[in-house]
Amino acid sequence: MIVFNRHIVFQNEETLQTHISHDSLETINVAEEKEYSLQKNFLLKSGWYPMSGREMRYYSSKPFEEAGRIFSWALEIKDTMTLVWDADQRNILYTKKKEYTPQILKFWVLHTFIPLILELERSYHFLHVGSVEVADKAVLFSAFSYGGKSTLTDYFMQNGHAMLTDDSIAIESRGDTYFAVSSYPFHRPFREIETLGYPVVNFVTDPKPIHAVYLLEKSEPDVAIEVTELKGIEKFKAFYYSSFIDFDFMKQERFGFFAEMAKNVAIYKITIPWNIERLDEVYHTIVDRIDPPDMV
Amino acid sequence: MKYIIQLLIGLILRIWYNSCKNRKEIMNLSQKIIFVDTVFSQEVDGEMVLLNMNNENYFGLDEMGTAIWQVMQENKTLQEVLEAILEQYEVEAEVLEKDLLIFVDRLVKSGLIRILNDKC
Repeated sequence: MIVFNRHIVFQNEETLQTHISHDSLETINVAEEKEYSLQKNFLLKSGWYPMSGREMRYYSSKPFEEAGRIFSWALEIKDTMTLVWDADQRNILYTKKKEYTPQILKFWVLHTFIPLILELERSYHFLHVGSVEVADKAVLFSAFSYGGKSTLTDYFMQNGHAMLTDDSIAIESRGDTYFAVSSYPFHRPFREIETLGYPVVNFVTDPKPIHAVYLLEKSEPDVAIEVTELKGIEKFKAFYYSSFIDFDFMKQERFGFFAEMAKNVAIYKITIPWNIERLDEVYHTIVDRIDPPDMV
Repeated sequence: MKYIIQLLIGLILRIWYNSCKNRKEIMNLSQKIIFVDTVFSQEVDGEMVLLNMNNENYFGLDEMGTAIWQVMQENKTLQEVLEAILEQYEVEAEVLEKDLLIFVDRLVKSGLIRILNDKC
């Protein structure tokens, strides 16, 4: 399957195999290792951190601050599995533990491990947003938790727009143009830990230039929908609320990256009437700005 | 006797240190700015956006604040900053001096900069 512009192959789990391939993309194999000693292969170990309902810790041979393209490291998810990034072979190795299931493997590899790999090696920077394609461009939705991102993303999908993500997106800069790199072809319009949701067919696989970021702001059910272009520090709210990977040692780098992005990508605040009956109105407000209907 | 001398030296040093410390807290135009190394700044749409890594607070400076911040980064005294801004903007020197000291005081209280008395 295509995930963050890479071809991911789960070699040992048939239920996770797809028939989708892409010759021009890098292939990352996800393969089982029956036995793998984290202590023998890595000198450093972190404490336990809570994540996605479990506890996990990092292993590496040098501090994460020194991470680059050739940086192997590992994630131990307590009682569930270990995931190892072999940077030389560019493969993911996993070792099963007592609570392992293929679905949990899929979740941790696609949702967490691959974004960490790609951010640490500086391929991309990640945002926690929903995103769909409109007129061959990516539109991003940013908000607090329970702010309406998933609902709005889902509504756009119901109206035929291809999904880039309903959770995290990779951002790639090419000069002054910023591209959104889609996540994985699953959609989760409900809140459930450790699941990616159901498969999505209408899924964008190629990076798309970003048209705009919409920062969703809840409002009273009856108020008018307003769209305001943000400037200066207000633009940072959209990114500040959308942090997906939060290593302390990368904060300055991410700050600089998103400051540059803010100079080149429009960011709008849109008031969202908290009334499901008016979702279509919100939808048309956004779409008509990007792809105005033909005048008759 | 040696012990008494050591005590006296310690006392003199402490008096000197407190004098310097107190001098730093009373701002005047001969002072320079030290930028706190956990504060990052980027200009966006003509506004300076500051991130204080210690508390992850963002700050935005308007056009005048941005101009002052940029001049301060040239390692000037507040007097030199004042003169540079007077060249850029049509404003009375007395008014600007007062506003500059208020602005710098706010930056200090927000933990974004420190001020240095060049005699200490």
